[in-house]
Amino acid sequence: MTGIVITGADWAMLGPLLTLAGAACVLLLVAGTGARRGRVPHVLALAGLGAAMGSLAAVARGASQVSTFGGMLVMDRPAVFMSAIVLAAALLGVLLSRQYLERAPAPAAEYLALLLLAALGMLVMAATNNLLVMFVGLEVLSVALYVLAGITRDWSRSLEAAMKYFLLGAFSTGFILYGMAFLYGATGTLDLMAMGRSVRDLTGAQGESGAAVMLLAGLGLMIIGLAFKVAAVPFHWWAPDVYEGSPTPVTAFMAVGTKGVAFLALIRVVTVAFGDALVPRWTVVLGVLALLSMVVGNLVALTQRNVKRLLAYSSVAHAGYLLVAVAAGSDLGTSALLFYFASYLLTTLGAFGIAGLVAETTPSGDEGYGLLRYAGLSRSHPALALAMAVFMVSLIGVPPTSGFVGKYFIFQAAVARAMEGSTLFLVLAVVGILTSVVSAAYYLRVIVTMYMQEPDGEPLVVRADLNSSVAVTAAVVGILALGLFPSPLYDLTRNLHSALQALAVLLTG
Amino acid sequence: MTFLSLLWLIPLLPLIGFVINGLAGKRFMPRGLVALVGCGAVLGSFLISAGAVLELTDREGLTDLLRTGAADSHLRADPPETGLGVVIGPAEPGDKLMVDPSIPRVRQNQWSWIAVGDLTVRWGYTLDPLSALMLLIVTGVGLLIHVYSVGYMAHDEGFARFFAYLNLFMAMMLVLVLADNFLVLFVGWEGVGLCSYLLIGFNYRDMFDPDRNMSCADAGRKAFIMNRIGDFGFMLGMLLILVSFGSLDFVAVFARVLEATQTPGGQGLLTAIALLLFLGATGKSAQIPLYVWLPDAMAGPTPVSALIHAATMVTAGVYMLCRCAALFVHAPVALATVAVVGAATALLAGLIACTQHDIKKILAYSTVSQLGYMFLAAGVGAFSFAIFHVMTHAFFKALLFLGAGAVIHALSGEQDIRRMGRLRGALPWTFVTVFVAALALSGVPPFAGFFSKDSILAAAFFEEPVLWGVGAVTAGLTAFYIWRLVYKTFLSTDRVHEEVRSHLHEAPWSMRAPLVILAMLAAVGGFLGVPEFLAHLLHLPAETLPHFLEPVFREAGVAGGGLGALGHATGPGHAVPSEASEWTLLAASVIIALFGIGVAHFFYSGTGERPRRLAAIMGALYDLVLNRFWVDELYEAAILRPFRFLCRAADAVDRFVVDLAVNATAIVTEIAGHVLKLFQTGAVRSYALSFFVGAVALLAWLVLG
Repeated sequence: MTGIVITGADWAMLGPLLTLAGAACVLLLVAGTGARRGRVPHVLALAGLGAAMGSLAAVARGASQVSTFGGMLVMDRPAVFMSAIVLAAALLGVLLSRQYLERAPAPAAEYLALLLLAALGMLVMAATNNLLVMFVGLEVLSVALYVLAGITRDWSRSLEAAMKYFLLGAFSTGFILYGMAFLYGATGTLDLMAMGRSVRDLTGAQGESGAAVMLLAGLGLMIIGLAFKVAAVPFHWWAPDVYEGSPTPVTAFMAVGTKGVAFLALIRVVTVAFGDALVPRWTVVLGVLALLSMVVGNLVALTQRNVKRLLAYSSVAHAGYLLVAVAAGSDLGTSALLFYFASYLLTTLGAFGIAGLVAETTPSGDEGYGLLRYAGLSRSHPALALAMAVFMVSLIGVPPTSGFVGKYFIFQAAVARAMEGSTLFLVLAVVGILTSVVSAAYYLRVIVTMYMQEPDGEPLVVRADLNSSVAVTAAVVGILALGLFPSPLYDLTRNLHSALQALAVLLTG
Repeated sequence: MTFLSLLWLIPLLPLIGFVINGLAGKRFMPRGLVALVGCGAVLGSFLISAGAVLELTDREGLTDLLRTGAADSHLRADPPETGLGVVIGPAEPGDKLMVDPSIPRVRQNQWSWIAVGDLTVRWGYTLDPLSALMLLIVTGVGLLIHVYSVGYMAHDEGFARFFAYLNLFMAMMLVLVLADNFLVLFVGWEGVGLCSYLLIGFNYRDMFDPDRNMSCADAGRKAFIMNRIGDFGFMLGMLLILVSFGSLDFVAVFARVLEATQTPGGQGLLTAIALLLFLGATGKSAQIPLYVWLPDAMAGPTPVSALIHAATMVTAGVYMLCRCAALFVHAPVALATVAVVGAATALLAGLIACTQHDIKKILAYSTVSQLGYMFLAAGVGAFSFAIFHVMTHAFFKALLFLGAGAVIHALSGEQDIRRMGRLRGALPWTFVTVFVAALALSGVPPFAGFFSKDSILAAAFFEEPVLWGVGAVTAGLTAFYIWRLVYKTFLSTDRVHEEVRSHLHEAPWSMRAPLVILAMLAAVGGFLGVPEFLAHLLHLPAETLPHFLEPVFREAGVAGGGLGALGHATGPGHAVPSEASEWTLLAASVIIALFGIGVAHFFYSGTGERPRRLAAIMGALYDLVLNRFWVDELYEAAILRPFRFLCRAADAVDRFVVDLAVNATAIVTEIAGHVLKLFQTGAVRSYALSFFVGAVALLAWLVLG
């Protein structure tokens, strides 16, 4: 019997995960000392994330080998890309948290440790082709986020959010797990690549046999569970309440990170395990979810008067656009998805960041998300208002911001499929453009309020410390840079779909 | 070729002005410095533009450049047939020029912007006669209006903000004009829309139209939404172009149009593309059915109305359409639609203008109407006349707005012409310049509007006499409503409030100088397009401007720019216009204009009793026109209200589900102790229902479907 030989290269690929885990442990130790609040935990968290990023860069650069531990850990290009997004989201989240933690009745060191653990879970979930490992990652990130959502125990809204998130999250996890069981039952394996081979046999040889039904049921259950995680209609309704109640930096981190890895998991399942099999089936399902999300998310967002809820529904709508990219099931689609996420990371973190800063001006801290509070912000805080305007404009998808380029990529992917004769994608492209036209109305309302409305009383005095300012500035600069010079980043995402599929084919053949 | 290589600076200078004034203007800079930065940036753009256009027209210089530049890898010939085939690497700003002396056209590549698959969209600028002329109009008129604003906005607390927005607008407009492909054009297209909206809502505190309970911010929002509807069409059109031509580059797309007409279904595709682009143009250029935002856009400060809503942005639709002439000439159905919509808009808006009382609204409807003329021209294939009218209109309409601004300024904000009158003595400069502009607008020879409007009407006549009829009636209305305005404002009886009259003052020089310069341009600008037969008689250069633009449209497949070549665009079978018929048309134009002026004189030179009697006779018809044919109300009731209802309904449904989920959550927490009870609560059943319907439907389709 040959045991698994672990080489230095294997350890190197574990680097980002180990770094995060280590930093989280150190933070938990610090939590027991007198330095649990203030600068020390914060610096530790930033250092941990920085080290993880460096380690990730080393993995990406040295990529002679992408898979280790018998295929349990796969640091392929999509994994590296999504891990970078997650780490960037965590970094911006930590920067925004500094100010939040000064005021909120929350233990800083534990908070930051949990945030790093959630990031760790996301990395695990992104970097595997094995359903079991994927599930472990999902649970690590979910449990950490459940606690984070309710970490300000004294604020009832936060507690309510945590409770809801936990219950509904557990519900969706159940679906994912059930789906995994079905897939295992049909194919006898949890490894996506091996599963790909079975799926081919099952669907190729006997047509739609009983096993195929099991496969489809498994896939359907997994889609439902993951649609929960990305907040796609009709599995979205937990999102507004949870987004509203959670600490704002956590909301932002959660909205980007969870969504990102859930989308990547979805892509892995449909491309690696299902390959060319049953494509029309899942394409329609994802297409319909996309359609519903774009329409419902945007329409309901139009009626919101609370910025956090508005952003929550906006994120439902954006899940719809992203689903179009996944449904496209092509190189263009996968590239578009990843690029869109880079843009989404910046706009979401930035917008929630500013929402958090504005909300801080209220004594209770979790009530200050009414749109009217933004009235006159352009005069009391021109730079802040300008940054928020840039985020809104990017969310609408107006050039030359990254949001525009991302949408352009997604619609191009959809249109490419439409040209192959798919009516579904023609409808998706047209509805996508139509709804993003409509969405301008509510994003614009934020700009109108900031620039063209007088505050009721005294203008707000918003404080933004160095950390928050750095995060917001970085987001603005990133949005414009990606809008004007998208190519370097986009080039990193090229041909990923083919690469993932080739992986499955390679093993099959 | 110094200026040609500086093209990239033209939009960048105002952008820098925007950044400086936007960030530091309010707190750290005195007003003088803000004005200097704001105007200086535009002056810089204007000078570079002028220099570049001079170099562009120097054909030998361009050919030399190409020859000597052959050794220089930065320069290369740009044969149209290869289009994008020329290999372009990532470039430093300004170091790549592609020259085609035959048009003449110079394209400057900034960098490769978006590259997906084998499609690369570059951030590039084009200078050809078409963009050159627009460039001069935008920077020239823009500069004058910037200078005017220094005086007009002197007492406004938002001085720096105003100049920052204005500069941002200029930057976006210049990107739009210089764009080398649809995507860069779209950047400018969206950008000017955003700035226009910010500037309409500039005085957001004020009520704009108390009758309709509309604030300035509302007006801004309305403009943006109408424009977004147009943008929807434009984006879809762009997407179709991308799909069918595999490129968004103007040169590459237009080179393949002819080929596309020969493929099966190609004709329909081109028509669809053209109609979608035209929908975009109706939004930006305020045509039926999307024109209703422009009159409300008058909520913005008057210089904004002059710059954005008369001279530049609203002509972007016309410019885009002319830029895409190659597409439109192969889509006759679309072209005919353009002509009909243009003529109808001209007539409708001209009618409404006759009944309005707000001086700026009269001018706004007049702008809508004149834009209709431009589309009419483009629709009958006379693209160069459309652009010619863009130019003359920019001169006289900007002047009218600035003059109106001077009047409003003098009357401490009064805009209702019923409370004006006999201002000639108090505002001599304003009166004389507005007088000139009114002559130009109503088409009295030899003022600018005469030549451009007459050319359009003649072109329409030889294409389709009915269109000429509509245009001619509108011309009469135009002369009537603008002289009604002049009479009621400057002549006739004095209806100015005592208190206001005591404060009457002529505008300061910063405002007067632009008026005078624009008046000169409005007086003589038409001589750039003297028709052939007239030029021959008067020993003037004939059709200078159409000849200048001709190569662009010839390349697009439009035969020539002048009258002589008309009709070839949309097919043979047209009579060649004879000199006699041209003389007849010209005479008709003059008579119609004079008739309109005469009617205005008859009604408004006196006490105002006659118009009241007429209104009484017309009765319901007058009310219909006065209330703008109830179009705003119709849109509100038929589109906006149902849409808002839909949103609220979606929200209600969503809330309902959320509420159920919340209730369920509360109950689920008690699962441990009350497992049995759980199944007896209605809330959980509904909650489970709403979830499982989704899940079951999804699974059922996957497994069974």
